Amino acid sequence: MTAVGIDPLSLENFSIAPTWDGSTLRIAFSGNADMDARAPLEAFVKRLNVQVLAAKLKRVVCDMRGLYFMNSACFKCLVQWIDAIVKSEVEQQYTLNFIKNPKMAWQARSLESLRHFGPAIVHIKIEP
Amino acid sequence: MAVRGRGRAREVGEPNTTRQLGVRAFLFVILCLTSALPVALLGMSHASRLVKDRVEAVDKQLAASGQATADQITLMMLDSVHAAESFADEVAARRSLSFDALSSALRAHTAHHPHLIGAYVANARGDALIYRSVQSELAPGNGINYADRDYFKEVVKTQRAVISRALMGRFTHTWAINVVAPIHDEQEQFQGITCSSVDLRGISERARRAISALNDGRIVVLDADGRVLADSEDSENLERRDVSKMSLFAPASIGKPLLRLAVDERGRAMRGVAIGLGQPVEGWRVIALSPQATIDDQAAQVRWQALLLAVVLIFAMMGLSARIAAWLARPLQSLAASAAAVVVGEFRALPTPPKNAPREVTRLFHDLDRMIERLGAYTGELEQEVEARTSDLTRANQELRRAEQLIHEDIEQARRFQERMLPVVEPRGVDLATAYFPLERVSGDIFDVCELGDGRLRIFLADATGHGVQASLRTVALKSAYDRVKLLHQRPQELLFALNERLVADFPGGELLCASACLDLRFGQQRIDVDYVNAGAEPLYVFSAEAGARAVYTSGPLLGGSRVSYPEAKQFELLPGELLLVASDGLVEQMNARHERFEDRIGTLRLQGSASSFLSELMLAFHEFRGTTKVRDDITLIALKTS
Repeated sequence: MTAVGIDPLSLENFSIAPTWDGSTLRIAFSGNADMDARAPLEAFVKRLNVQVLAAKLKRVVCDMRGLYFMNSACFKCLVQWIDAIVKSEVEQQYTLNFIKNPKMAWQARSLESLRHFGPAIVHIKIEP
Repeated sequence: MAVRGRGRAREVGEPNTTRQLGVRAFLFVILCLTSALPVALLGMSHASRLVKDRVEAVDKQLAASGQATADQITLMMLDSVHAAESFADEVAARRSLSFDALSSALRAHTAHHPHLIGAYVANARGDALIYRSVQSELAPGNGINYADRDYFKEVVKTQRAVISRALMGRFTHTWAINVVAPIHDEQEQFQGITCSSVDLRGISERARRAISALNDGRIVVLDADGRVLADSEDSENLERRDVSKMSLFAPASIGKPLLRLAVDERGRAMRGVAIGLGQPVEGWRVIALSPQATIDDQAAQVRWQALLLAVVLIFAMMGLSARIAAWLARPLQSLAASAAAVVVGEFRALPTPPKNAPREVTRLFHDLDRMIERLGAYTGELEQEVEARTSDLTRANQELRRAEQLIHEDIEQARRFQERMLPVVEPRGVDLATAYFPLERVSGDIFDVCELGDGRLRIFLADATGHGVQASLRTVALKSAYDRVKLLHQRPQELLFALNERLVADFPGGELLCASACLDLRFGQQRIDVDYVNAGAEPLYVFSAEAGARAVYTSGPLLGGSRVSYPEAKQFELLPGELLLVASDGLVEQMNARHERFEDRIGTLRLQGSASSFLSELMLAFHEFRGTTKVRDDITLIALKTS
């Protein structure tokens, strides 16, 4: 459990590992986010948003480099997450910094599609 | 199959008992071990004790025989010494050593002591004056002189009675010992000696009688020099036997029988008791012997007898154990047979208690009878219950099958309905082909191709989240919403914006969130101009026989998520002979066992033939790529080839 009280999510082929380094909450996605991951991911994202708002964090880093597949149902969860942030009070809003894997073209396309739902809060980066 | 519970896991099914003993054999083994084994141990212990007792008895008998012989010899020699001294006193009282004076004394002496085989009287110089042996009458000395005899010298020296070593008598010609007493006159002057001969064969005879009770027993009498005086086994040839250097015949303490184990002069291992004699034959010893081989034979015989008795007892105990085991096993066997009958559903085979069974066993049989009766009753009730439940279950299964059939029919109707929603268009002058592969019976994909009034062709492809029935319902709502607006807007971005507004308004929870692409195609003389707006769908692909394949992509937000605007359409053109492929994500996101995406394989495909044959080749390549990996989503393909 991190400083903002987020438990990791671990399924057979998909996992989410939150880490807290004292200033930044980093959420590492890995594996295969298919239909089996949809419901746990949706619940995770809802809990995460509540915790981040309560902790008044201003930034969450989503490391997608270990994620090799995410279906549209799971992307819908991310869209809903972004929509929830956008619809919250301005002073409560926080940014989502997605770190993409440059070797996976689908990540660039899908994340770019996500960015349209919150251009001000969604950022897409590449990290070594 | 193992059923877990408290304690060990219980194996269900027929137990493998082929290597287990039956109860009778088991009881027999236990009883044998608890009865025959102690008997065997006791028998061995008793045999050992008997052997020890037998050896002790031999030792005691040897000691008794030896002591008796020693006592007899001592008494005999004391008697002989007294006789010799009395004879000397009698001679002295006659005050004459004449033949006549000595005759009556010598006759009386030999008559009163019949164990003497002879006697003589000699003067102080050792000249024999008169003698008598058992074979002859009185006779004069005839010039025989005894001054050279050790015993004569000893008497002259000590002036006391002495007993000689064993020697051959000059008158008796017999191997004997002499008891010699000095003759003194009234002034205590030494006048001569009387000599009485004791036959050593008599001692041997006494020894033989003393040892006669002991099988193979032997008594040897030795003088102080270790020379054999008597031998119960051989009373002859005593003069040649000197055993003084053998440990078996070494000197012994007076009155203290001493056990010895050694080899005799004939090389036999002997067990013996040595007894030393006192005055007047101090230094003599009696050795009572028994061959060790005889003792060992007797011990072995005792051991065999004890062993035989033990074996007989063991067999008797085994027989008794067999009877007891059979008696004890009978109730258990009867109970086991009843249990086996119950196992196969036979509740009428009630066990019969054996006659003369203990009270608890009879009670157990009685209780078991009641248990089996109650079990039979329960089983009957249970069978009725199972029959009723089975009937209910059969009815429920039939209802479920009917319901399943209805669902199946419903889904089939939904599939036909969804197929009817798909457009049937054959635009003039365009080679257009479509393929539609639901992952299940119905699909989460929907597409539309329609001609706009100004000669343009509009292609729309949408992929609702998920697949199956719930996704197909979304496609119905989506298609309905699309059909209402598809002809109202000139530009595709305006169309998607209007469609999104409608979806967000009708489904604010994002239920109709979907990826989609919309293309308007305007046909020219040499090319086709395409306006392309994307709402989170996969890229388009343009295939050319000369230039290969290229992806065409523009970004845009998913439909139905929230109120957003759509970017300007991306414009590109199709040249003659090129083929445009619009595909849902089920195609490009398909993975193989190595987690590779089919998207990376599409660029290697070559354009051949018509749009329809291209789609066939595409699907062949798709299935070859995925191998045994399952298809993971609905697939919809739209191919348009320019002429």
